[in-house]
Amino acid sequence: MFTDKIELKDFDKMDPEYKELLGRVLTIQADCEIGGPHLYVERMLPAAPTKLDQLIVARTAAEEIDHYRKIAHVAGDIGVDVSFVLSQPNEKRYVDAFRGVITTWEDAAVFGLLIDRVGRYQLEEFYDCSYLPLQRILPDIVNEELGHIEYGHNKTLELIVSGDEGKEKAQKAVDFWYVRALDMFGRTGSNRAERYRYWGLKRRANEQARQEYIDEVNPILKQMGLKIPDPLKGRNYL
Amino acid sequence: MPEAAANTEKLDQHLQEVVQALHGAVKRGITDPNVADQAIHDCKEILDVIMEGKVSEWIE
Repeated sequence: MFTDKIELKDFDKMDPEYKELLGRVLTIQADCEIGGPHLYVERMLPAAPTKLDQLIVARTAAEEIDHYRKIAHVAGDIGVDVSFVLSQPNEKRYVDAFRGVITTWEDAAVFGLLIDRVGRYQLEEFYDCSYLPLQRILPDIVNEELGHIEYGHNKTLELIVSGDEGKEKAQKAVDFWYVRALDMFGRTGSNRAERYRYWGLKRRANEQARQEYIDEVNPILKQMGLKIPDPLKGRNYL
Repeated sequence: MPEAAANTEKLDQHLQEVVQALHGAVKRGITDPNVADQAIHDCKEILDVIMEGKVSEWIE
């Protein structure tokens, strides 16, 4: 296991595998950060239920753009240009959950509740990671992601208490996003995930992070009065 | 030191300005409901450009 801490000035001396994995994980993270606004801005900015919600959609997008900027800077400094993801069509996003368009408010709400929470897990992988410039940008990003999760939680609850139709809509959205959220953690027993861990770039195996997510999110859904979807139905990465 | 990717600093600076402009518009809209429509309109205009992703035009 690699336990050193690396600064930008040390990067050139690193093993090619380390360089490749760091560049890859930064590219995927940048793609996920900008992938969110590409999912919901076009349809949800005009369609959010109140003006305040419209403004919060814009603020959320601003924060995600800023997360992209910070990740892109860390990547750019090691010579990895991630600017191509800014114009990448949604269907070419690295992660399945970002390949599409959000067209309903319930999907926007549940996206915050479930998918932004996976985003938090992804970022937590880098806590105490071997590449210090990445570690340093985490606190502000994670803090803002917590706000997005809370907003998604509150908006999902609002839907549920608004009446039977709202609850039905929320359940339908949960059924759609839950399996996508579980897939975001990647394959169980992934060799690449093991190499990330070897180089100190990630902390947990995919299956461990996924299980921790399930343990966190299932009680939340139950408390909201929602059914837990079948965790295996429609999954692409087991 | 590794060689930085081209335009890293320029793009960073541009996006920083974009983010500040968005936060400014959001704050105006939340603070004063009378200008909320204009603030939403301003946010939409800014975000439309970012969603288009024409990076080369931003860093000219």
